Amino acid sequence: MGNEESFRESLRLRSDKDVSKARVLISQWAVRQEFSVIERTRAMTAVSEIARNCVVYAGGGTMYVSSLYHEGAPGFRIQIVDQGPGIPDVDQSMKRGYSTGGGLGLGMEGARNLCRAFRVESNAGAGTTITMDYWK
Amino acid sequence: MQNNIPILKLGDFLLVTIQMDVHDRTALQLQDDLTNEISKRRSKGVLIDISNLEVVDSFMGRVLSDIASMAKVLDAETVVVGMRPAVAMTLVELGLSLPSVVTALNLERGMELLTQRLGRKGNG
Repeated sequence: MGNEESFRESLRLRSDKDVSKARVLISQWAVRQEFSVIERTRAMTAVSEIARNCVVYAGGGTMYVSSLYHEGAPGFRIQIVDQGPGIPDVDQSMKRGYSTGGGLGLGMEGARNLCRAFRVESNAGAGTTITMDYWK
Repeated sequence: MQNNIPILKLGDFLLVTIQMDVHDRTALQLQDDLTNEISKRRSKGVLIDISNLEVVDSFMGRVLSDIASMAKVLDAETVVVGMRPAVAMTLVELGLSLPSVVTALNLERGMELLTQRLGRKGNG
């Protein structure tokens, strides 16, 4: 890390239109870094799930994308940050079928299966940060 | 605001082609429009072409299965055609199996399947 110039972009997430923009932005990152079609699709799908959760359950937030190197392999880090109510029980929320709002309850667990590394930091009342890493 | 997704009449069927990226609200609008159109035109079959669609997440998956269920209640069969291989793989990894959605490889196979299913129904 550090010897390559890092690059960072951000996107406000406030509506379903922004969720769509988030998918497009990640598609551009994946194309630029010459990811395979399946890896690009995984990243776009994971972002779609998490960005929508952010808009629907936390009233919006911000997505940050930055370049990363994992043991020499190029990739990118996606962080979706909100100031919402937080997730009271992160372990519970990762279980299949968990949903607080009429979805299929696959969002978080599904997204975790679609990335190389997945991290949730959340405190009740203090918002949530979800980090998803992709590398080749 | 995205434009509504057009619904075309193709013989006795309705054909919907979903474009590359769809806003959530546009997908929900399609659900409404399609149920109205099925009822208005007394259509027996619906083909939904998703070959241009790059992402089917849990929301879009739910919309597709809701469309199929609503069509069924209105006595119409739905076939989703043209799913990209990467989308199919991702759906499975996401844990989404879409049990109520009938799929076919492409539009031609989808038409055959619908015709078959409706023929069987007519004879039975």
